[in-house]
Amino acid sequence: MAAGAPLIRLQGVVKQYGQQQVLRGIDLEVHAGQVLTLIGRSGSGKSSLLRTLNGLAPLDGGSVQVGDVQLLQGLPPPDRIRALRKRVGMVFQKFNLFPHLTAVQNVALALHTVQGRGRKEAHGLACVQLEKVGLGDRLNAWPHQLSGGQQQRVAIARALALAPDVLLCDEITSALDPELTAEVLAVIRALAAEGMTILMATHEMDFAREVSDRLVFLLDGRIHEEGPADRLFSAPRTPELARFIGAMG
Amino acid sequence: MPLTPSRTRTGFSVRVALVWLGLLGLFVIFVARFDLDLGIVREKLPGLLGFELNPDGALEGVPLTLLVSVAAMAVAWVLGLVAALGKLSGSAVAYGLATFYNSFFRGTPLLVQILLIYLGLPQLGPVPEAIPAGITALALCYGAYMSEIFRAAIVAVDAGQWEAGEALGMTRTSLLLRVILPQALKTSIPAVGAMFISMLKDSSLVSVMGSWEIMFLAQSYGRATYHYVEMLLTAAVIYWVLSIMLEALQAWLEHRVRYEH
Repeated sequence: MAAGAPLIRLQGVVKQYGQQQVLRGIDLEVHAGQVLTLIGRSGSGKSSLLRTLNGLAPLDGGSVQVGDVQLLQGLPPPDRIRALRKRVGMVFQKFNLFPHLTAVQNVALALHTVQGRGRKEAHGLACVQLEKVGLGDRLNAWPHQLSGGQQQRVAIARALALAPDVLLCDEITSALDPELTAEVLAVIRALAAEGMTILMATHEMDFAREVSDRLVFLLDGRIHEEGPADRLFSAPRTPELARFIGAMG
Repeated sequence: MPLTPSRTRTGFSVRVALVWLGLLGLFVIFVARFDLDLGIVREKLPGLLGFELNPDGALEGVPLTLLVSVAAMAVAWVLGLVAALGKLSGSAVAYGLATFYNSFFRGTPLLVQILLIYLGLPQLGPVPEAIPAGITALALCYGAYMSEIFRAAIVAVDAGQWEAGEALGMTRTSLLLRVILPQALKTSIPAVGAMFISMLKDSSLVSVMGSWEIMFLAQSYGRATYHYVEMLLTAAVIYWVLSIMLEALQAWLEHRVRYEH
C-alpha cells in the first residue's frame, strides 16, 4: 500500500500561537488511500496539525507538501493556498454549516463559486453528494432543522463535493451523542473502504482502531509514538501512550 | 429561557393593552389641562400630513419627512456598510478613511454638520438645495453610526463560518458576500430599525434650512397662530405614529428573514 511517493509529507512542522509552541517539529508521511488517526490529549496539537494541511494555520517553520503543492513558513501566496484547498477538504467539530442556506445550497455553494460550475450543475452534484451520505430526503432542510449527525453528514458532503484528494476530520463526532456519532462514523467508514485518504483527530478510540491504517500519538506538539493501529493499542511502547489508552478506556 | 419569562398565561396581551390604555389616558389628561384649541389642529392637520403642496408646488409635511428619511437611510446604509468593511480592512488607507469618517461624524453635532454642508459648501462653489443638503448630512451622520452596527454584526458571525468557507477554497470576497454578510445583515436588522426611527425624528433638524417638513410646518403654523403647543403636540403624535409603523415594519422584516420559514 505504501508504495511510491507519499501524497502528504510534513517536514519539521512548527506552529506557535504567541509564545506557545503547539507543534514542535512534526515529520509525517501519508500515502494515498491511507487512513491516519491522530490521538492525544486536548491541546496536544492534533487540531493544529490538521489545520496546517489546508493553510488554516500558517506554518512557523518546516514545510507541508500535498501532492505537488508545497507550503513553507509564513503566509503562502493566495494562488498556492487555493491550489492546496482544491486537494484538501475539511470537516469540523462544530459542523460550521452556513445557517442561511439549505442543505443542498450548503453543498452547492463552493461547486458554484470555487469550481465555477453553473447553478444547475452545482445543484445536481450537490444532490448526488447528499444522497451518498444518506440525506437524499433532506435536500431542502435548513441546518437548524437537522440533527447534529445529519448536519455533520451535510458538512462531509460539502467537503466531498469538491472531490478532494484528502479529507481532514477534526474531532467530527465530539459534539454528538453516541447514537448520532455512529451514523457519522458509518459515513467515514464507507469513505475509508472506498480508498479515500483521511486524516482525522478523534477521541473515539474503538473507531480509530477499527478504520485506521496508522495511528499517531501526539504529546506536547511532538509525535510521541506511531505505528499500525492494532500494535499501538495492544502493545504501546511508551508509558505515556499506555496511560493515555488506559485513560480513554 | 430566563430572559423572556413565560407569556403563555391567558390575558397577557390584554393586560399589556390595559397598561398602554392607562398610560395613554394619563397622557391625554395631562395634555387636556393645557386648554388646547382643537379647531386649529383640525385646520392645520391636512398640511402637516402632506395633503397639500407648499406654495412652490413641492412636497411638504409627512411625505417630505418620509422622503428625506428614506433617502438618507438608503445612503447611510451603503455608507455604513462600506465604512464597516473599511474598519475591518487590512489596508491602512481604508482603515484610516473609515475611522476618520466615523470619528468626525459621530463626534460632532448633527446640527453643525447640516449647517456646515448647507452654509459651508457654497464657499467652495456648489450651492446645495436644502433638501439634498439635509439628506446628505443625515446620511453621513447616520452612516457613521451604522458602520459600528455593521462592524459589530460582521465580527459577531462565528469564526467557524470563515474557516469553513476558506477550507472550501472560497475567496475572502466571495465568502464575505455569500456567507458572512447575509448573516450579519440579518442580525443587524433590529439595530438598523432603531437607527431609522431615530433618523425619522432627527430629520426635523433639516427644518433649520427652511424645508417644509413636519417640524418646520408645526413651528411656522404655531408661530403664526400663537398656538405653539397645539402644533408641537400634533407634530409629536405624527412622529410617534410614524415610528410605530416603522417598528411594525422592522418586526415584519425580522420575522421574514428568520431561517424558520
